[in-house]
Amino acid sequence: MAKYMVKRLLTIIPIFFGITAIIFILLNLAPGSALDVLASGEGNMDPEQLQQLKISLGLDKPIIVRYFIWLGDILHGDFGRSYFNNQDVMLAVKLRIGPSLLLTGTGVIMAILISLPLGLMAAYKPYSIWDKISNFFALAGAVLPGFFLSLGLIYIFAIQLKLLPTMGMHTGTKTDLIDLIHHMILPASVICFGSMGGMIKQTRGACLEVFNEEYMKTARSKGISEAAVVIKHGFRNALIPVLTTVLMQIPHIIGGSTITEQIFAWPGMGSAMINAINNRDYPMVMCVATILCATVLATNILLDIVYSIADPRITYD
Amino acid sequence: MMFEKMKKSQAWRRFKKNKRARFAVIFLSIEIIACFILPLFLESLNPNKSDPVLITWSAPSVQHLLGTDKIGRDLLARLLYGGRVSLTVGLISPMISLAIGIPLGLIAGYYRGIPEAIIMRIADVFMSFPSMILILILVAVIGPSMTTLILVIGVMGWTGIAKLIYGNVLSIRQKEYIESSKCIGRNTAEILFKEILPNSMGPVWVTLSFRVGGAILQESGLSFLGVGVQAPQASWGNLINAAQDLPTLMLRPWAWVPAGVLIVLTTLSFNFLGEGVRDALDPKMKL
Amino acid sequence: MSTPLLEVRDERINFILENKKHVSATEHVSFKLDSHTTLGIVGESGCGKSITASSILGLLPKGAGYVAEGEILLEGKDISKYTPKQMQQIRGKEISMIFQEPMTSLNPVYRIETQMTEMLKAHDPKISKADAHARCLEMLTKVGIPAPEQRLREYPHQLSGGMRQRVMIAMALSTNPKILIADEPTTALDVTIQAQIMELMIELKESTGTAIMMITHDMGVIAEMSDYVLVMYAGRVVEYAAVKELFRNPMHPYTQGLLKSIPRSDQDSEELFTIEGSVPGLTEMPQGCRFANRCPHATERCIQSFPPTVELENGHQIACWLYEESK
Repeated sequence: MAKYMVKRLLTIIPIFFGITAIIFILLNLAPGSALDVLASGEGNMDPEQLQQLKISLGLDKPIIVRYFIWLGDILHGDFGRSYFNNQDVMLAVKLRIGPSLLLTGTGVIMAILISLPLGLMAAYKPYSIWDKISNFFALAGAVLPGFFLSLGLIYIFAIQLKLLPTMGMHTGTKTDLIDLIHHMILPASVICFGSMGGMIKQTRGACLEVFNEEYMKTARSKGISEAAVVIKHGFRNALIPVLTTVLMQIPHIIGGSTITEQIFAWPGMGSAMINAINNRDYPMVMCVATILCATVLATNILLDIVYSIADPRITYD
Repeated sequence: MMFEKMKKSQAWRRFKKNKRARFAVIFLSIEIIACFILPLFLESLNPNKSDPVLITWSAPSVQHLLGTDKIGRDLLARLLYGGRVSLTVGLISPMISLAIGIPLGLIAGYYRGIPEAIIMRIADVFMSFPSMILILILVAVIGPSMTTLILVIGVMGWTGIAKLIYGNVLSIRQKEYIESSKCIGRNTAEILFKEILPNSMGPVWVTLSFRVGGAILQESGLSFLGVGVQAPQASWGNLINAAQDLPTLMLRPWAWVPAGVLIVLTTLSFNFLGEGVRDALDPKMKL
Repeated sequence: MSTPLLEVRDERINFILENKKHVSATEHVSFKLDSHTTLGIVGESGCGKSITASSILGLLPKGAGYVAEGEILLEGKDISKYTPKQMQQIRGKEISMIFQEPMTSLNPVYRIETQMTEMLKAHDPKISKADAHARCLEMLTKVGIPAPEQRLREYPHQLSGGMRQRVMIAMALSTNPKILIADEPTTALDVTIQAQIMELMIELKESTGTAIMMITHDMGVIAEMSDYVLVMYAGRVVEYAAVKELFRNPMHPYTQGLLKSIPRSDQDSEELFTIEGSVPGLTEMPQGCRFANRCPHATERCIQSFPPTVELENGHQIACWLYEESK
């Protein structure tokens, strides 16, 4: 196991370099270079000033060299400064990551708490009302775009009923929890709805498969309660594939929900990413991408570990 | 051969009996005619011409069934042209996913070993990377346009197809007829494309239909964010974007609700179509 | 006459098809089982032997199968009318069951000890950890598992098929049940392991007095293990007799066919005997004798109506028109 993990970590390092290098190079090839963005902010610059700016930003060196300089910097925790407002990028991200974690995390946890029991019940009682509800949500999640749902919810709950706020995290200078929760209800529901469909489908499918296993019959023949049969033997085994779907949401939680954050003006990573891309603020984009890349790779390792715990048949030798 | 034919006609009969699939076929036919053919014959359906009389945000009327937008353009025309964008992106980008996913899945499943390890590892990473952010980066690099969307959404969708083909190849490989093909000396490419691929296409068609719906959702989301199809070209996403403006959201539902409803109905139809094909081919298929 | 340990009377099991139609999978199934004896139920797949066994424990697939008629009497009490809660007390305590696939009948994610203890706890909630552990060890030793301490800590996938079936038997008998239902317990095993498992079951029956209901399609297993034999065909009992009587004097044409189709080393026949035709499906059951379409002796009457069961003096029962006169 330990040996496997070391091997796994070693394979992940080149993947990390590979992905970050590709994104770095792509961003530097993009039209509308950073230089143009900066220059336009400074009014008209003569060629000499432009050249100086280029050198000061290190943009005169070959792209590969620049990637390694960037890599050296991030190893010291220095992600550079924003082209847009010259802020330390890492600092800006640190401010954004909390709200994203809070909002998307809440939405995803809500989705887990609803989907797993619903999927289980749907599989346990096919054609029942549970099955119908879960079919509805699975289908709705696949066909109803989150932004349209968001607008609909805003229309109903904010405009018509005047119950809930639609923008940001707080009203004015208020910082209390109730106010925060008020602001979270709509966007978190949209995120929850978006994640539910896949989770319900996955849970239902996994449970249906497990319920047909012979060991379920063995469990019943032992004389333990039906609830114990379904949960201890059925759900416990169905959990193994379901965990993939659930854990795969971690990068999503860290990266935030772009569209939802944008609509509800939520100051998270997703809206930061959109702003950064619109402003061609590449150090910021690179920083978010790098954090996500690290999260994705860490999640993949975590999945391996969780699998080996959840399923004793999996051993990594 | 007889058996194959019989199975096909049975599947077709089951498909025709499926109410949801029938709805999907009818709805999509009407939509395709309305979006692609109707505007060719009706000159009034011009998405880019401003009405000189009714300049800003007029309500539905006889001339403009869905009213006009901020600069007096006919919203019905824009809705139909937006449909062209969505359907085009929706139908073409999954083809790109197929073009990448099928060979990679075949290679991983047939050769196993190192190619398998590399392809599947990359697929895992791809699958767990929040696709929206990856797409945003790519769009920023290439510049937003319909072509970009088709490419980016298509490229991002390869993992599902590759995994599906890969899984099928693994199970088909075990079967005897592949062994016998090897025995009678057919080469690898022949086995891959003539034996293995046709036998794993059933689930691929089903996934493809689901992917079309997914691509339409992604396209409209990106256009809604303003990083997809760019003005003045219309798309369902940027039509709904107008509702981010409070007065439009509150007072002019005809400007944004129809686009949303069409997105829902179109993706719903492609889902029904996929389900119909799945149930017709094999009701026990796990997709 | 004392009450038999288990008696199934005139049982009919219905299945609900996809189109919501209810069809009977078995009809008029009756038999008795006493302690210290083994009853073999034999028939080809789909004849209803497995679902008859499952129905006794109330383990018919939920929402798809149910006991429509008849009684299942355990020491005179009709357990087919028991509530799920009451049935829990029967399962694993009065009647235990083992299954065909030892590879899949143990839960892959729990250790052997956990799975065995779970059953002990279900029927004796106050049992201490040490007592449960001791009982598990004792049972594993009894079924001939070497290094039982170590096996208890292992997961099912670390055991061979034969070992797993031994674990299943150990678990099933750990609560001293009165009846053990074995549903094709040796079918999935290698021949040498099969013989070992059968030997083990005979031994355990003798030492514990547990009655065994042995479901199989294998006449060899019947000959080896059973005291009495019930032959089922297409959801009906066609013949019942003591094992020696049945092998010496098979009366129903179906039983005769079954016995003839066993390959024998002492006879030099060129070809193996097969029964022509196939079993009718659930929805196409004929109103007459269900074997009529494959029976060499079938007459008009066989096609018209199902024969009544005839009992001979030695307890041999047959449902066939050929023997109607002999009554």
